[in-house]
Amino acid sequence: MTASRPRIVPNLANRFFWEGAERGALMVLRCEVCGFRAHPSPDRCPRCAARALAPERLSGRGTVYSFTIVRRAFHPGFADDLPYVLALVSLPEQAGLRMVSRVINTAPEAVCIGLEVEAVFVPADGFGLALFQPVQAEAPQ
Amino acid sequence: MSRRGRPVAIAGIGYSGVFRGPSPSVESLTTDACLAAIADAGLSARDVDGIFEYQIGHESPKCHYIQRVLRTGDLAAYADIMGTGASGLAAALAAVDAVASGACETALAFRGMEQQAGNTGSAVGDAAIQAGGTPMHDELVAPFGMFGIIPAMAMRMARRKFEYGGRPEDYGHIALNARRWAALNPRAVQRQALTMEEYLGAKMLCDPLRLLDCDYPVSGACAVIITTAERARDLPHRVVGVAGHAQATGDGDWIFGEDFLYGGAPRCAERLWARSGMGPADIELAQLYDGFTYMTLTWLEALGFCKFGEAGAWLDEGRMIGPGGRLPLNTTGGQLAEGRLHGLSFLAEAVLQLRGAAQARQAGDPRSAVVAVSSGPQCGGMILLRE
Repeated sequence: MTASRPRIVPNLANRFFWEGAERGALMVLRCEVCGFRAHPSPDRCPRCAARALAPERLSGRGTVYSFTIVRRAFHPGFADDLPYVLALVSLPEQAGLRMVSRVINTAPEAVCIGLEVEAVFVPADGFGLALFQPVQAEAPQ
Repeated sequence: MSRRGRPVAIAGIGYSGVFRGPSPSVESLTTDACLAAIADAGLSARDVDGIFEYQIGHESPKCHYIQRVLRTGDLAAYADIMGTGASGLAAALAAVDAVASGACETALAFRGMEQQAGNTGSAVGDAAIQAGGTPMHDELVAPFGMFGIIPAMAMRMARRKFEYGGRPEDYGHIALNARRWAALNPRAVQRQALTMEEYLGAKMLCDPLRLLDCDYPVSGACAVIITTAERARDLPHRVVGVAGHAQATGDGDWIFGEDFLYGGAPRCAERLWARSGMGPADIELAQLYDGFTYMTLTWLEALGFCKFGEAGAWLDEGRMIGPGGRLPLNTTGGQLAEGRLHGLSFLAEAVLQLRGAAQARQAGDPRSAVVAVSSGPQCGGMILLRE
């Protein structure tokens, strides 16, 4: 049996992120005052310090900013996935906006920096995970 | 202005034994290192009126414990520094400020380690990831399968190659250099020579990061005594003064920061040179953090020994930094080979070298040294100058 994975434990600041992914939406917080987007979710706008932050749905597109092929299980719950690709994905909606995710539905060796990717959503712990696959990849089996 | 407050010197250094396997308790190791540093300075515990220590989170003794065990008497200044900071050097940086400002006269700074899984095994537990912002954003990234610092370091290596080019051998030369010096250091735990073939063939943990890019976990402790330069002149050793010291954080984020490759290091370097009135050309010895080979390589660039992205070529197949090289680097073998004493050992070794007391590994007769510790949003450093 596969060892259990760390569970998603949402807090008030990031619940929308995990719930959004469950509905098939990639979400980040956006400042209602100055329009700045932030990830990870802050309590106040990192640019203007306003408290008025609201979740915004993004396009789900992105580019690989950097990545690594994980070859060793740092947690037993992920041993069966090896090797897998962890990536920092640049989100086109704002310069410098990035998130950590996985790149799936491709051979790890085919991933490169600059690769265009799109979000694909999988259920987890009653919430969802926004993973990414190469744009124009074959549909997952 | 090059100096803030009273001129300060590092008057004593001390180590415990360093263990790869079963070891005395971390309390015992830390006490040994503190007593050794006090004795090395030619002082007694009653002379210590300040204590500063660094830890990640409740894993090693705090100031009050060492105060009681050593019977130092009342402390005029002290702090337990935790969580973020320039690893063990953070304690010494705080001690320098305390002595320079007059808050205390003679400060003890220490870092104790007990067989941490270290960077090669740092993974969060199987339990639910707690919400609320660890430095590595565990609550946000663990559900994707990202644990600890290794994947973040591997992504830096991949991005640096994309932006600047370079070869895996560039990192390899840092790993080989560590073993070359460690062979001359009886305290080092990894003393056997390493070939480039062995480095390149080492187990890949997270492409392109290999096992031999990671430091080696040990149990052990290191401590230093910091006092005024004036007082240090009456103590047994040649005076090694602090010509400049600095910290920097960049924007304070390990994973999502704007300067993903260098973090606070360039700003830290800028402050070190401005405050010391010195520059890379004035430096004869370097002790640069090597929790990962990436960190050492990028410190060389951030400090201006070469241009950004050019450290690989600058190393000259390792000749630049090895025994007999123009800039001897990490002369204990660093954390890669002496063992992961977590930051303070770089300062202790610089002091020993500037005194001319490093025995078999003595790197000529250097008068100036740069020490730079940790990386990314937790950068700190010192410029040392022998009087």
